[in-house]
Amino acid sequence: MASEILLGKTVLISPFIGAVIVSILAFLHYSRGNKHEGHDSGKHDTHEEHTSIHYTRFENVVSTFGILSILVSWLSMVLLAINYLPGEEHETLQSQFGFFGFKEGGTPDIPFGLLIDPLSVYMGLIVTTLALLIHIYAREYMHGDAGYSRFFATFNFFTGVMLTLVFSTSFLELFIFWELVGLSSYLLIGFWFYKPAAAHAAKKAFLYNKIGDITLLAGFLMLYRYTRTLDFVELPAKMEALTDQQIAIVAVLIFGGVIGKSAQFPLYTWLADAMEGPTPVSAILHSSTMVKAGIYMVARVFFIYYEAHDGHNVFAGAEWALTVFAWIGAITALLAGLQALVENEIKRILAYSTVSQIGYMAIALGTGGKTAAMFHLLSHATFKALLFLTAGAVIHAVHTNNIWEMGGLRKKIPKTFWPMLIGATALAGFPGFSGFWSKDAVLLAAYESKVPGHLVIYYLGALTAFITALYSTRFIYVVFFRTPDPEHKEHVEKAHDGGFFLTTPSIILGVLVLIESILFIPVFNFEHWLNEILEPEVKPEAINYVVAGSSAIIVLLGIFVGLVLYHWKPELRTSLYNIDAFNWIANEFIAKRYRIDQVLYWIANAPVMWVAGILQSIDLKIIDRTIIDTWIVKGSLQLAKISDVFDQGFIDGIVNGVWQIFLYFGRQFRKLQTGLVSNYATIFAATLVLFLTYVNFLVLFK
Amino acid sequence: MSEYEIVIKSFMPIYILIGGSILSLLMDWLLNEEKNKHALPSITLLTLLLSAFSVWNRPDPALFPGNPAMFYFGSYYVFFALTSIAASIIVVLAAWKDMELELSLGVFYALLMLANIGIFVIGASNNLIPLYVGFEVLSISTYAMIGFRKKSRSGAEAAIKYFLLGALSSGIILFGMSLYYGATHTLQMNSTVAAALVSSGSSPNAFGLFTMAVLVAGVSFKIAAVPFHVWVPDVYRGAPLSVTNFLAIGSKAGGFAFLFKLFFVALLTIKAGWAPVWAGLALLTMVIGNLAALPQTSVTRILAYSSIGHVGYILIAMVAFADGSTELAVVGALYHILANVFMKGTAFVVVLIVVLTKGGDTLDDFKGLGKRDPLVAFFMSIALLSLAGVPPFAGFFGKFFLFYAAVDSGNMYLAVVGIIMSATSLFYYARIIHVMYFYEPVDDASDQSQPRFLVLLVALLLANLALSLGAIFYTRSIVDFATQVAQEFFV
Repeated sequence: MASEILLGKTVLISPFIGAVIVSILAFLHYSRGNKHEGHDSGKHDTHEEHTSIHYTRFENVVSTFGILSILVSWLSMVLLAINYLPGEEHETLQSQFGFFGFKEGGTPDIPFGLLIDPLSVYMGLIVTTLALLIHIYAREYMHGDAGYSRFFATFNFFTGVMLTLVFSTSFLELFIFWELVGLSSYLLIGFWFYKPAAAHAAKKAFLYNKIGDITLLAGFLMLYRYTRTLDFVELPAKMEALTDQQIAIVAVLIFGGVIGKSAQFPLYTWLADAMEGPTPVSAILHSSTMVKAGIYMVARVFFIYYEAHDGHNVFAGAEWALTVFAWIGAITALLAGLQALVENEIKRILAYSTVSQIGYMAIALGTGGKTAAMFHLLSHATFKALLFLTAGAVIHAVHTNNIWEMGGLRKKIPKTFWPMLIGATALAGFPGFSGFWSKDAVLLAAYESKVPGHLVIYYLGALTAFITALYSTRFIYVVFFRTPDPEHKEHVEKAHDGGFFLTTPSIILGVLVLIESILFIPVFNFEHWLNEILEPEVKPEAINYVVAGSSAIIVLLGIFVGLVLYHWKPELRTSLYNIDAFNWIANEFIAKRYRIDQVLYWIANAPVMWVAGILQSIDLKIIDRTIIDTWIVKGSLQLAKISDVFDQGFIDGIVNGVWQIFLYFGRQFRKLQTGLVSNYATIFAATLVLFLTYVNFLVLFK
Repeated sequence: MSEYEIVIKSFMPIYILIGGSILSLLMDWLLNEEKNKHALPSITLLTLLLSAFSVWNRPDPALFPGNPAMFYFGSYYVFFALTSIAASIIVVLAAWKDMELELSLGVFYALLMLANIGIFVIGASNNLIPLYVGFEVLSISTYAMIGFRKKSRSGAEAAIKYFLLGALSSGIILFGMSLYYGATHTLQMNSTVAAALVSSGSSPNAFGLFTMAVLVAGVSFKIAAVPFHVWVPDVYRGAPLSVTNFLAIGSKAGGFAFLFKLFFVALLTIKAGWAPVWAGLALLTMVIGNLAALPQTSVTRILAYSSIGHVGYILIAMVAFADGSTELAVVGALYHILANVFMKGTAFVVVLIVVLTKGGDTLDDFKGLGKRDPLVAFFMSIALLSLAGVPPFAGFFGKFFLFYAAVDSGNMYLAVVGIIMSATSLFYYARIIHVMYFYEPVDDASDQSQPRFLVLLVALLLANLALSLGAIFYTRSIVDFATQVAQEFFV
């Protein structure tokens, strides 16, 4: 036990140490008079400046330390998993290195520390493995960037923060690191902050996340009020004492946080904009960290929704929250899938596909399939990291993001093509590949669940599976098989594979996806094993051949339709786009993100504008019309008439003189004025009178 | 120890401050300006540190003579005395550069020390007379400090404004106190004397209600609760920036010390009467303070409105206290007041640095600060995130305690509004950060590095982090301390 705690601490601390070392190295480097990141250093603009041997040596040192620290973390994570996971009984280990509690003499109610249980070990293994591969990839990908050391410091910090979130032992600790994940992703998405799009995307990600965080904070505050503890170990036992209403409040507030962080409808548009960050950032954000944090958190606090000792019994209060969540997942999966179908930028296609796949996980959680969700999380994390890394390599090779400016790259960059093909096949859910098994588990959970309307959710999920297969076929075909357009032929010709660090991680990931695909075959009982370690209290579902068979058919159909539309009969696509309604839906509605941003903006803005409008109309109507029109304008007209009579030379002079004097004093006193201070004093006095009146009423009507 | 000795030792911090202020006035007269530029702030720092040391080494407060004793130098006193010294040290280090060109600097530092005396006396009083005297000492020295830059018109205007309105509020407070005396026939504050304010049961009688209404109005001015906040933006903008800093962190803490003494001790019996009033004011203050900050373009004004918003959060503690979550409310209020010293202090020091180099405090002047002076921009960002309540900085824990106190005492609505408003506040804080990092500098003004400022900013950041680590690892000690403070209220 002691060794496991020690390993766990190493897992968490090592990335932070890496971040510190990198920062110190950068400090030494720049304080020796080396040129700092300039005012206008764009990645490509100053490429020459930052390829000097000296800078490259600095890069190598920085990345070596960055990668080493993650390697240490990964190694200790693997050792921890080897020590911990095998065997029958999995004791929950907790090490507190601090606590946060109000009760006198009692046990600490909000511990800070390390929680080792199968869920956190499983998740930690995914995070460290992918982080390690992506770090290795970034070593070459970021080469020549002016902010190389800044990147590695932030990236290490981000990894450490995410790992600490995973191993959090109380809700408050989880929330703090949840916010830090948001903060460091802000820094990473806005890494090229001199690009306005990146700066904007970073801000948007931060603010959209923040909306979710508000409800999350309110949710666990309420939970603390009801149970008097935020300890993940103690909480499950206390949940049964709560009333339905209390559970409902907590359940729905916590889902609010997930919607923001895990990019669910309607707060998912930030994730596509977040593509402005460097590709390694997208890869880690989408595969194992950040967006998965929401899914992980729900799995962690699943006892709020389902009774801890009997996972089949849903709390009556949580039922509708779960239903809503499953529906949101289904809608998100479908909407984002459609959007991936019309998107032209390769990274954005993958971003929407992530949103869509997380929708699947939300479906699984909402319909009670914690195992299915974590299962899909694993397979998605692997193939999505693979897809992003290869997409980065493709962009690296052809220097464009738009898939229609690529084509026929299959022969040019084979070391990128084969891994990407494997990843896309898994994403499409081709029968036998990892994505197929995990998606099948999700669909099965929806199919067998007791949630109202679960069959509709299942059908929506199946439809999304079709769309997923379709868009996977689309981008693979367009990028690798299609004959490139003549005007883009030139850079396609020049394309070549990246170096060792750029290709190796993708190849490793490709192999991993293949291994997973084999491991997930029901014969090897992976899902049952997962079920046993994650929720031993729940009996696993038997494989349902109807669901599995139909999803296999759906996927094959999707790939077939894709090939028809893009390979065999491309003219069919043209005729489809010639239909006005179709064209409008694709280009004006879906491609413009269903106008979600505008609607959200309107919702946020309308009440403010409404109040402002009222205030303005008061200003216009009452002050302008009444006072100025009636009294001042008419009054002065009268005055003018009278003064016209008097206005005979000498009066003019006096009036002017007096006016000048007043104006002078007015200018002098305008700020010191009796006016403003007395206004203030009037406000005070009026409020005091208000208080006294209030008190008076209290006295009189007691 | 004889009684005489106890009195002397209890008052020692105050004597030291008086000595320091006389010394600095003498130095103003004896030494030339060139020497005073550095000698005066050094002397002030030394005096403050000495005074802090003797606050720490105070004799047992229970031994203080008198029955009932007029002063009680307990935990409450220690907290506010040390907070005000911390705030003053920040102000001195900032004023060192900010005020160096002013004439008769000795007066300025003497006033600063006198203001501290005011806060000390408020913290220790058990009686309305010293309480009021302390309050006035604090107020009058701040009036003079605001108008200290004699050639600045905006400074003079701010001073006059603050003075006129302050005089009005002092009058209102005095009226409230005389009502209190009329009802209770004593000026001693303790929870039993105030029984005269209560009719049968626990509801306040007419006397109690009127006393309460008048005192609420009077104190609200000092702490700048809406609608008594109107002076804040003008005065903060007009005063010299180091004085603004003191108003926002030191004088504000003094105002809260006064508020808590009055309401938690003197008016404790009629808490059923004032709780709803403070609840309304807290709501108004949170909402209006944070909304009004949104359209501002001057960073000083943004910070001014944000500190109004923070007053709203702290006022939640009043309601939670009245509704039974005594210790939590005290934890929240005291923790947030202390956190405010470090985060708001940092923010105003950075504004000062920008004003010294760029000559203005608008968002335009902050453009490109991230490139001009990355360290300063970094400290500013941390301070702003802390103010917005982003963990793991101290501001988050302050709000967490306060909101939790609200939830715990059954006032969920206050926590909800607070959480929504602190999310809203992120918009205007993020705007400053955005401007600092994502814009090019308007011109090539290179900032002269001010090592003294950097040391101060580092210290403030460390203090902020120490405070948040304290919240995580020493919660129990914090709660114990607050329990002690709360027990002092119920003597």
